[in-house]
Amino acid sequence: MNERGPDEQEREAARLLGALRGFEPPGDPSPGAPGRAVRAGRRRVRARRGAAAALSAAAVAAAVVLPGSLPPSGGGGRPVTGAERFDPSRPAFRVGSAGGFTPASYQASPGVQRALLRPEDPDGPLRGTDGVVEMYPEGDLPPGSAGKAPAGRAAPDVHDRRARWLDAPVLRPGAVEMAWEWKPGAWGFVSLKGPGANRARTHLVALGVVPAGTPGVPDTPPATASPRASATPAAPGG
Amino acid sequence: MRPDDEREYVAYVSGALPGLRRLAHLLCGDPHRADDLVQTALTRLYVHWRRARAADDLDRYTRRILVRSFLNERRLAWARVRLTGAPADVPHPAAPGPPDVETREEVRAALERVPPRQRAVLVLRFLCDLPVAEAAEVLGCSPGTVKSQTAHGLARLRTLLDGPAERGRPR
Repeated sequence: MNERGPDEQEREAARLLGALRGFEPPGDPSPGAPGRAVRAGRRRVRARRGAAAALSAAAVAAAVVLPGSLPPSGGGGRPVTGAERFDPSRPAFRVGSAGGFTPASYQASPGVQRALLRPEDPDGPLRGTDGVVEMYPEGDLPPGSAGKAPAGRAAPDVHDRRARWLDAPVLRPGAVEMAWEWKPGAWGFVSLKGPGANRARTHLVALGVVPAGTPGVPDTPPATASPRASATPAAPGG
Repeated sequence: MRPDDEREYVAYVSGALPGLRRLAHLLCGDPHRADDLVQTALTRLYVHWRRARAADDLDRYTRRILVRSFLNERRLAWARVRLTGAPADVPHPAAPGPPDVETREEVRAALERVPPRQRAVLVLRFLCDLPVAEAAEVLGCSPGTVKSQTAHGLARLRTLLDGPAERGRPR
């Protein structure tokens, strides 16, 4: 592409976009818009407060009733989260076949959405290699991350979002892993483990993860029982 | 929110609404989506009003909410991005002469086919007249990224409006 100086860019922009200067949207601004925003904002604030209170109450109840169920202190338990959770009744994402892998199962829960991957060709070069995709809502991270946002060398973007290679795997020891910020403050992870695991395949698998409802991507298998975020994913086999 | 704060919020939003609608329409193209985007941004502004009011530049803070809402929405709608591009979507080269309704619609249609982040850069810089540094602040990226996105966005727009074989043809 030709490099153009700032002045030339200005002239080019004026030529190309000049017709839109002075553009005014059709219709008048709705006089009710501020009022609607106030009402919606009040609802949002109430919901956030309610969710925070419910989370606190649940945490207290869990600490009192189920002390043995809490992760050991300093063991990288999940951080306290905001109000954002996934709908556990349906997958929030679709995982396509990519990089030689295809989804074997999908587990939906409010705190993590997990797809287990197997090689598309069980007898091919990826035999003995498997994959895991984990998608977290804003504020949540895998237990192995010790509550720290993914850090590492920059990886190629995933759907225009920044990504990182994880030098220290957080899902499975010995795996090739990458993470990308699928929306601000929310991270997705891909973990490939076995003789066929490499970064190129890992990136391709990440590119195959799209929001549920995206046409053109084969359905993932039906969601199964909710996973616990602290559970180590079972290899899908294959 | 206290009643005084809420009154202040309503007064600010009432004044800022025309500018926000214009920006949203330029970003979205579709008037219904643009109005939804404005409503989303205003709701977020309400929730964060205390922080917004303390910002150095409330207008810039509000624009940032709107632009980021637009980009977030587009990111989660990858399918729409992927499925555009049919030949019928490509506008014909605009006729020379002063901007008329037809020309304006052609430019709007072309702008809508520029990738969202590049489109946001073009709108902020050349239609809202923000300097590079301010556009970078609104978009949450570096000035260098704004410059490169500007170059890419203009190149894309040029191809859409002039056609690949007619680059540089004066309109």
